[in-house]
Amino acid sequence: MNERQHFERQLAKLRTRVVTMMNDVADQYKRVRQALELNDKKLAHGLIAFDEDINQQEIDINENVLSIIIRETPVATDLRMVITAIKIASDLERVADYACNIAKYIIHTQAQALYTDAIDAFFPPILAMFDQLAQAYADKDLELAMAVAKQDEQIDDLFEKHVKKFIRITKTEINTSAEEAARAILVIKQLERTGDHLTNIAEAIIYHQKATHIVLN
Amino acid sequence: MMTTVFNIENLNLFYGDFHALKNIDMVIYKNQVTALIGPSGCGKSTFIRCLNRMNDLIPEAKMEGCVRFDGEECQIGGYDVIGLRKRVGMVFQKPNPFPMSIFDNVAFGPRQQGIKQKEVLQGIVEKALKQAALYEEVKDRLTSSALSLSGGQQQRLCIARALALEPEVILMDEPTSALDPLATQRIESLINDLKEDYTIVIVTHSMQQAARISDYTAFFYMGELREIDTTEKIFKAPRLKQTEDYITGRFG
Repeated sequence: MNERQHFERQLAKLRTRVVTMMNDVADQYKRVRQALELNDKKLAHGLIAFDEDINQQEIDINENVLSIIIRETPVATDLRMVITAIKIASDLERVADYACNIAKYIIHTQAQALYTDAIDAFFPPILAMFDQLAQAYADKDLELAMAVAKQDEQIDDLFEKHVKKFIRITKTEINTSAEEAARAILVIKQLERTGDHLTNIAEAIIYHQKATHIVLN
Repeated sequence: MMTTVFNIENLNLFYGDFHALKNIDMVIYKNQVTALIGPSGCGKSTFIRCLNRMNDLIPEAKMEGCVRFDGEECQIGGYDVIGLRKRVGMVFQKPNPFPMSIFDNVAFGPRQQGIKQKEVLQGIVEKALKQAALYEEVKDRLTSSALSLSGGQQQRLCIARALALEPEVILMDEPTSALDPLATQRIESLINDLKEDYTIVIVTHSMQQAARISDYTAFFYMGELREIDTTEKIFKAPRLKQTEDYITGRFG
């Protein structure tokens, strides 16, 4: 319809912004994983610097939504779409902060296989979640959005397994080893939270399509 | 459990060969604002005109089905139509004050009812003007011509004129479409106040107006009531795609 063309273009632009932010944050996780594997402090610094860009993307999405609400007073699916964009951007921004915190860990600690291997195990499910979310968002694929929760369960299991192990170290070892274990606990906690936020995004995608709140995990 | 004012069952209306309303089943709840939306020619105005039998005035209009007002079938011969229109008042798209004073406009209905005493009429006029949020603006010039009022004031005067008969229901057919935004806002806020005491059915072309002021929204299309639900539900996630397409501006 002609009279909606301008509005449709604005919605399409907003969708593109969300997809771009999702991809950029996923890239941050790919980079932080690489930095961890290679103990590449320079790469870690680089991704911390890029966080500014991610923060700005969230602001841009919020402003974009505000402008659409003011000018177009969207309702029903359109309203749910723009509200969902704000929610997704907010979760992505938080998740990007976690990637930065892990980058800081890489910069400030001596890599030890015991910890880096454990941390690395979180990345396959997290990166799979990003892929599923991007596709679920683009294709409005509810089943795929639901599937995201499965990966989150895997992340929670990993967290339980490793946190117990690391806590034991903090109790039995002294000085540096205990501190390293404590730092590693902080990192895996952030990865566990990443899974929760990505699950929130899956719930937001479902809300946009179905107008019902579903708690996936 | 909400009290119903109107129960409409299988309502059909024909203008000659044209089937204007098709098998309408609908309930209108007491002290609620029900908004009727839908593209031009969908039957919204025809529908509210069935509620106080204004369609009786159109010779080629023929109605079938059952409209119960306050539990009583009100479309049958012998029903007190004048009494019905007293209890179910109406406000039209264009303010239509009578060419007489502000006071006489509001007192017109009560006088027709046989009320003659000046003090009683004064009381009725003052109360109705206050309820219509117009009194403060006109109290010092009640004898001036109603035609000297602004469009927004004229429309509130018409609402006061309807209220003077102490109706139970007020039907409004696009009451703000001829008004500026500020006057519209005053009428909308008035509607919100009035629903404490009255049941309001309003036809509107403004989706945002329906969203702002109504409790229930009914979507009409091609003479059919396609969907009715709470206003929140309609504007958040309507059941039908057609309703969604209409309220989001994808058609209509």
